Parts: sequence; C-alpha cells; structure tokens
Amino acid sequence: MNFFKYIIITAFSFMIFSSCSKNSFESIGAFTVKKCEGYTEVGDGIGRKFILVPRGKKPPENIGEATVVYTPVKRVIAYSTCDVSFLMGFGILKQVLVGVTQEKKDWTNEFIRQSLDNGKIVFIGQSSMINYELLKQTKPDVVFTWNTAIVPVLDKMKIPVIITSTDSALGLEAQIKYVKFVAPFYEKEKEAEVFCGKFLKAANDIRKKSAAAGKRPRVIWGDVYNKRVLVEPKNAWVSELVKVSGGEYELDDVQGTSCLEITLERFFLAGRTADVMFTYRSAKTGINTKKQLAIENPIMRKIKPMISGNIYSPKEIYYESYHKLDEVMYEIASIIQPAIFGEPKYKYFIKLK
Amino acid sequence: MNQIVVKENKRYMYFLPVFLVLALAVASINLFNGAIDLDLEKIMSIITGGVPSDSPESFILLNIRIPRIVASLMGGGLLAVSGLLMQICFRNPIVGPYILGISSGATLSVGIVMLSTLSLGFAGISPYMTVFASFAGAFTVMMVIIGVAARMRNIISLLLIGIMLGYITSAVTSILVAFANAQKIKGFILWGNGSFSGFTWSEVNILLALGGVILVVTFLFSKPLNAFLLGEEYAQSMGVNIKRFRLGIVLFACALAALVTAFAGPIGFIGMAVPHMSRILLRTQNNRVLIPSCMLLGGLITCICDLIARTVFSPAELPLSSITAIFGAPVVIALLLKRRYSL
Repeated sequence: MNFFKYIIITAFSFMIFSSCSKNSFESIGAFTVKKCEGYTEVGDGIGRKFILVPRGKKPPENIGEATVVYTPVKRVIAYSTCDVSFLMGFGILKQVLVGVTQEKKDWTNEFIRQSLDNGKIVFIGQSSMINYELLKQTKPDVVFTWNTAIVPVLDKMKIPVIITSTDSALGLEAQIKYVKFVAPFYEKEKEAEVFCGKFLKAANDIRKKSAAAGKRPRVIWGDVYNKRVLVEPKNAWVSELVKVSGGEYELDDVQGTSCLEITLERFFLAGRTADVMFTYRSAKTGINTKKQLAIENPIMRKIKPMISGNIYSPKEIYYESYHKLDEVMYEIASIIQPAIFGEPKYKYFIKLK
Repeated sequence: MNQIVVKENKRYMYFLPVFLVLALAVASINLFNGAIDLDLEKIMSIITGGVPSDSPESFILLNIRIPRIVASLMGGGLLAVSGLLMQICFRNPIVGPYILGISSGATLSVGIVMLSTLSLGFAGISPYMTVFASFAGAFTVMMVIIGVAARMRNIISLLLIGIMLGYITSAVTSILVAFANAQKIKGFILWGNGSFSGFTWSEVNILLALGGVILVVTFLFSKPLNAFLLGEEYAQSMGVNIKRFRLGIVLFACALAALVTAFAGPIGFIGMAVPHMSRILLRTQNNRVLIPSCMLLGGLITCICDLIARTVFSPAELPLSSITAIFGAPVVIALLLKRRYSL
C-alpha cells in the first residue's frame, strides 16, 4: 500500500515539477533552483525539496515530500558566516537575521556584535550544542545550516532547515554561483544575478590577465597543527582560484570533499618547491607570525615560503566577506601574481612577519 | 605456578622470532614507501652519507620516516605491554591501558593547553607544551589512581574509580570544547585521533630510554605476575607483597600508557587486543613469554596500522585510532563470541 502511495505522490510531484520552465533551471552541485509558475522549487545540499511561495499566495497542491516556505523569509537563523555575509550583501541583515551559532567575540561586523548584546540577534549555542528551546523561541522562518544532524529535530519542530553544504560542489564555479541558491528565499534573485555576474566577471578577468603570466608561482593552502597537517584538496575553490590566478596548486594529487590531513612527508615535499603558502587560521588563534608557525612544527622552518616570507593568513573579516568574493579573488590573485594584479591591499589577508 | 610450567608449550620459540622478522619486514616496507618511494640503494646511500644531508630524500628518510617507524614499533609495543599489565591486575580481559582514565586525563590537559592558551595569555603553543601537558594530565590521573590503589583492597572498586575519573575528565574536556574557538578545535581533534606522525629524534630517544627501562623492570617481575594470575592468596604464599605489587603493576601500566600518549595522542585498541592475540597465538598465560610477545606483536601491528594510515589513501592520512579500532574490534568481538581461553 505504501508503495502505491509513493508511486502516486511521485507521479503527482513529477506533474507539478515538470510544469516548471526548463530554461530557469539552475544546478550548483546538489543545489537546484527551478523557477515555476507562481513558485520556486529549491533543492538543498542533500537533495531535499523546498517549494518557495510568495507570501499571501497559495502553495501548489500535491507537492509530495517537499516543504513549503513562504518568501521572502523574515526571520533567519544562519550557522555559517557565508550565509550571514550574503544577508549583508543583499542589504537585509538588519531585518532578517535573528540567530547565529558564533559568539560576539567571533564576529567583526559591528551590527551583529551590538545585536548579540541587545538581544536582537540570539546566540543559539555552538553548532555542536544547539539550544533547541532558544532556537524554537527565536521563531525562525528558516534555518540555514551545514549540519545534517539537526534535520530530524527541526523537522519535528516544523521549522524548515536548509542544508547549505554539499560534497559534489566544492569548486570555484559553485562558490561563485552559490548566491543564486540562497537568493530565492529572500526574493533577491536579481541581486544574486548581479553578484554572480560580478564574481564571474572578476574570475574571467583574472583568468584572462594571468594567462600571459610567464612564471607560475607554486602555491600551497593549508595549516600545521603541531605534528599534523591539514590542506585544501585540488578540487577546492581556493585551489582552482590559484590556477585561475596564474599559479600552480602544488598539492594537485590531493582530492577530497573538504580540507583533509596529509602526511608530513608530502607537506614537506610540497613546501620545498612552493613559492607561496596560505594558512587557515586567523591571527586570533595566536599563530600570527612565522616564528609561531615554526614553533608549531620545526619542519616549517625548512619550507620555501617560510624562507622567502610568502606566508599569508586570513583576517577575521575574510570569513564574513563571501558577498565580496570578487574583491577576495583579486586579493588572492595579487598575492600570487603581483606583477600582473599590483601589490595586494591586504584587506582580507595578512603577510606573516 | 607449577600448573603454568607444566602446561607450557614451546610455541613461543617459533612465534617470537616470527614476530621479530615480521616487525622488521613491515618496518622495511614502511622505510621504502611514502611521499617519495626509496629503493634499497638510495636508502643505503642516504644512511652512509652518499646523498647530501639537505636533500629532500635524506631529510624525509632521516627526520620524518625513520623516527616515525621506530616510534610506532616502540609505542605499539609499550601500549600492548601496558594493556597486558592492566588485564593481569584487574583479571579482566576487556580492560586496556586507558581504562583508568589515563587517556582522558591526557586529553583534558592537552585540551586546556590547546583550547585556552590565548585566554591564559600565551600567544601560541609550543609542541613541547602539548607533550608536557599530555604527560602531566596522564601522570596526574595516574597518581590519583595510585593513591586510591594504595588504600583500596577491592580491585573492582579501583577499576570503577578509574572509569569514573575517565568520565569526569572527558566531561570537562567536552565543556572546554563547547566554549572553544572553532578554528582551534581542528588541531585538538587531530591530536585526539592519535598518530606517530612528526616524531622527532629527541622524542624517540625519550620513548626508547624510559619505555625500555620500564619494560625491563616489568619483564623482571614476570614471575610474580604469573603467581598473581593464580590468585592473590597463592601469590602471597609465594612471598609477594600484594598491596605493593598491585601498586607497582598499576604504576608501570599507567607510566607506559602515559609515555606513548604524551607523544602520539590516545591510540585505542592496541593495548586491549594485542595481549589477547598473544595468548591465543602462543597458547600460554606465562608472562615471561607474553611480555616480549606483546612488545613484538604490538609493535608489528601498530607499524602495519601506521603503514595503512599513511599509504592507503596517500597523500591523505587516515586517523591511526580508526585503523587500530577496525583491526582490534573484530578481535575482541571474536574473543567474546568464542571465549576460547580465560585469564
């Protein structure tokens, strides 16, 4: 019986969804955005479907397992600084952000810091230990998170939860287009097009200018944690950006779905030939000089960027600047190819001394 | 005791050399494989100084690969002997070196250092501070256990107190993690996975010297350990001071576990599974045989696990504790199902 029910729901869902215009379909890895007559269908990072219906309008019938979300959403809880930075980009941060999973000390944005003090924005607990009562009390229209573990709990609370991470889209294109996936929730598709166009233009401009680069500096992107090393895989967006910027990613044999640990031997080998190194940790963690890095692991003293001085760390603001991806990309390009892109402005990175 | 001597078989005469040869063979495979594959000629050339000492091959072999191999052989062996001592002390086959909270104590103090150094006013952390913190944490728990062991008559109560200490330290660590900066948690999680990566020669020397001394002393106690197996009353009749002896076993077991954990982080299952494997393979309870067997087999298995961890998905490195667990858990399950021997 359940099987037939499933078939019928699937058939109806197919009929409804197939009424969407094929031309408006956008796919970003697992994320999908489909513009339909009177509503938008969005698929999140784990393939769950959401029917975004403008407030005051009726949702379509027979939507199967999909969840209805009325747009524009007015109260949002966001786990990731990336999702919060797009709210800044859309100019709606002050209106919609009601909950975060980082404490005041972890933010640079003055409005968020003040709002966490005056209660306009609520710290709902660290991502690993959410206070669900507080979350419920905050009455969000939607929760954006990378943590799939909270889906069952929030489903029971009838709070739509959107998974914002996916293993199938780590690259630069996904990073550029991601804004198009979040925009329909705020009815900011036009703004997202502008952002996306700006990002794409920057990437193409960087690619074009760096194509003529004579020497292609070799770059590694990772960090040492005492005796261990974490690095970005070659399919990460930053690794792809290194290539676009006229550099070579030195760890091009490392493939993964997120940053991953590699052997000290491999890191040492890459470090011997690398010209530039980017680290993960901001100065806030205490690792803000080359000396500190060398104390972390003596092998750091042997790597070339350490000797030449080309080691860069992200500033705190970097994590809140996804809506300024074009600026970030230009700064990375200028660090890798200063002869082409000019001296870096060091707005998002610092050169370790 | 006579019972043990009568039942003694000579399997160890074959198995111990086999373990030794296999350990050396696995160490050799480790020696050849890595980010740079080295052949015998190249290795000999590096060792004899035929290759400049500042060449990447030379640096990798002499300063990264060989210390790691020696550390995994020695560390695995020490953990296995520590587990053996714990199993004898508590006459419980499912205890291991970390049962008394040694690992949790080390993890807590490393957590304090790694997750809250900034709030304590330090700019960063020296790796030596991590090692020191780890040893201090393990040693503090060990001293509490020893203090309790000196007063306790009931060995099960001591075991339970050890487990409770483990819970307390783990709980405090969880609270630390809850309030820690997300960027710092990464390093702490990596440490908690355990690894022989990044061992320096000075650390290897400490492991060899201190571990070696404790190992020799433990081996010298194998006769009273055998007597202890046959019951406290029997051991007492053989002239063993039970209270002091039990204290000694706990001290040595904890010290061995603390030593390895200080440098490599917590590495699970080796300490629990290897003593059982030794007993099954050698079909003996004689600790004079089991101590060297655990040392060799523990080193061999840890070295294999380390090889798997760093080469299977090379250049990605897998968490060593996951590999040892995948290897160790089925052994423990099989033992529980079959119950082919008893302690």
